[in-house]
Amino acid sequence: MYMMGPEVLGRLFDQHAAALVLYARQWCATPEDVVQEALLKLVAQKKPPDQPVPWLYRVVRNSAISAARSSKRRRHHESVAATRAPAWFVPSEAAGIDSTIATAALQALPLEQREAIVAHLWGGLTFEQIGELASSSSSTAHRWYVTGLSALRERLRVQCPENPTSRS
Amino acid sequence: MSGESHEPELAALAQALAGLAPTAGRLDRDELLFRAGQAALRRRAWLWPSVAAGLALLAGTFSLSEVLRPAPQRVQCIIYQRLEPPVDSWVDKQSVAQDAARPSSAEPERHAAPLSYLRLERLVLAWGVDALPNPRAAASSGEQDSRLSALPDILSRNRWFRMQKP
Repeated sequence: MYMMGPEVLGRLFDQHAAALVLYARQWCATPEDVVQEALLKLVAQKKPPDQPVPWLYRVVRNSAISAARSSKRRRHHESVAATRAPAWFVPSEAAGIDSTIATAALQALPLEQREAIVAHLWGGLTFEQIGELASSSSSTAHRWYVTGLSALRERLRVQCPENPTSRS
Repeated sequence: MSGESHEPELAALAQALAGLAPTAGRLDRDELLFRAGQAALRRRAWLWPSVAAGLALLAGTFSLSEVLRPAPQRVQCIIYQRLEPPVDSWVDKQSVAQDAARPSSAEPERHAAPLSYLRLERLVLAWGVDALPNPRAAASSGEQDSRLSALPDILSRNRWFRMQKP
C-alpha cells in the first residue's frame, strides 16, 4: 500500500498550500479546510497521481465548488465568515503592488479569469492544465488569463518596468 | 508564456502580481501532518477488527448451525446372531456316542481328541497361538497318557454296560 511520507507532504505544503488556499478562495469561504482535505486525500491515495500538483488543484476546485454549493444553505454564516476572512496575500512592499488593492482587483474579475490568473501565476499550472481543470481548451484558458490581466492592469494602473522579464 | 511575451506590460503586471505571496490562512502545517498520521493509523487499524469480526461471524454461524441441526434419527437394527453349541459338550456327546457304538475302535480317536481341530481352533480363538500345546510334549506324554486314557474308555464301557441293563 502506498503511503506518502511526511517529508513529501511537508514539501508539498510548503510549496503549494498557500497558492491552493488562494485558488480555493475563488469559490468558497473555507478554503483552508478544502485544501487540508485535499492534501489528506492525496496522502490516502493507494496509487500516487502522476502529477500531484494538478491533481491537488483539481481536487481543491471540486471540493471548493461543493463547499460553495452547500454553503448557500447557510448564507448568513458565510457572510459573517467572509467579513472575518483573512487577507489573500501577505502584505509586502517588495512586490510593488498593495496586497489589499490587488485582492480587491482580483475579486472584481469574473471567476474564470480569476481562476486562470491564480492557477497560472501562483499555482504554476500551464494553460493546458488550467483548461483541463476548467473543462475547456488551453487557448480558452490563455484567453481568460490575458483578458483578466488586462482588466487588472486597468484597475491597478501598474507602471511597466523598462525591461520586463517574462514568467514562463 | 506566449501571451506574456507578446504583451510586455501584461508580463510586468504578472511579475508584480506573482511577487505577492498568498497567505495560507488558518491552514496549519503541523496539524495537517498530525491528521495525516492519524488517517494512516486509521487505515491500518481496520485489519485486526475485521479479522476478529470475521472469526466472530464464523463462530456464530457454526453455533447457529449446531443449534438448528435436527436431532439424529434413531435407527433400529435387528441383528441375528447365529449361536453355535459349545464345542465341549458337542465333542463329549459325540465321543460318548461313538464310544457306545464302537468301543474297541474308539481308542485312537479318543487319544487324538485333545489335539482335535475343533479344540485347537477354540483354543486359538480364545487365547491366541501361544495357547497351543507343545507338539513334542504332547507326543512324549502320549505314551503315558495311553494308559490313563484307557481309564475313561473303561468308564465309558461300564456306562455302556449299565445302559444295556434293563
